[in-house]
Amino acid sequence: MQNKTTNRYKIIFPSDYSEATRTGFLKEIGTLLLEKPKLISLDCSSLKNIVSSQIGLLWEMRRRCRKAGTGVELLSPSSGLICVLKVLDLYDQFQYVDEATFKPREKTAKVIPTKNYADEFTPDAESIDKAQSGFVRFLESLNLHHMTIFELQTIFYEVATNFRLHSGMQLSEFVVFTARTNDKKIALAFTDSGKLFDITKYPIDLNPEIAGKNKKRRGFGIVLIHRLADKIEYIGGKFGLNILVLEKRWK
Amino acid sequence: MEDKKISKTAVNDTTVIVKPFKTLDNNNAHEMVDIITAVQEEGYKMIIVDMSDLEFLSSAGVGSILGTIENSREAGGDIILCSVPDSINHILEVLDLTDYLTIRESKDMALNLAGTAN
Repeated sequence: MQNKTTNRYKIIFPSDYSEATRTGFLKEIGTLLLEKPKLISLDCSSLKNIVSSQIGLLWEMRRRCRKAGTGVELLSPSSGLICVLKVLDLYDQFQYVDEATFKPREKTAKVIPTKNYADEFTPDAESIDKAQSGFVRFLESLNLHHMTIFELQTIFYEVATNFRLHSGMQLSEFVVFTARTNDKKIALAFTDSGKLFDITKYPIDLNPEIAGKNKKRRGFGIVLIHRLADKIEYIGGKFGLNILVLEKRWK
Repeated sequence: MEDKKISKTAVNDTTVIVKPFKTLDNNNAHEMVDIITAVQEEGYKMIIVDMSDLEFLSSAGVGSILGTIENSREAGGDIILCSVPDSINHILEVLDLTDYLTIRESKDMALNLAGTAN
């Protein structure tokens, strides 16, 4: 599974995404990092159909390597993988190498800007609560108005709960979540491999009188998401993934 | 799970106070519905939902109130929300619910409205 050149390991990124594979892969990374290599080359050539759990695993591997002071380069990433990483604003976190030449496409990975955030969660209540708390801590670190934090927390919770209830994802699958901010706005991106679901196609009308008379108890989450976010974009189907990007402008 | 606890306290034969603690979300909204439905069936016409400790209200929490309020109104009563924090009120405003729901600033005002002077 791995071979070593000078202070540089090449390993193959797993093409399946079972929990056992994930655990085994991270264990292998852990063992490699004990030797403190400068660089790990991750062969992504077998990664054709991308699922969110694999993006999550890639991110987790990068986090561990970064902590150990080891760089990560992706060897022969597919155009789909590159596109997904770009949409999630994770592209600059890796180096890229062409297998034929073994020459870098990009010189160095950029340092994560302090106003970027990434996490992953499984579609269960406990994991969502934990991810929500982490996101709120990130928002608090930005010194935002408490109402803005509350709105963003609500958006996060409603989208995450939608995964839990409707995505059909297994508990072993991960939803990848990223947030990036600039002086004008914050953009949240959720990537999952559940059923394709385009939230922008759903109505945002809500008549309280009718809802009350009909004793309606569900369907308010989508309305809330639409009304709290300034812009919603759904990118789905192309890579078998749902990618939902929500923006909120600073007021 | 202390954060998701919901308590109920009868004031008299017609009025009861239901108090969700920190969170009313997908994890305990069904419990909220069960409690409200049970007190409605027990004959309590006025249900005061004391939100003074509530820190987070999700759409499921909103649904637990909106989905049960007509039962009280059909029986000649109501569900009265009181001590609603700004952030929670904001969610109700975003959903255009503040005119439809009966909201009072304090528990005393809610009790007065329910015809139960404190």
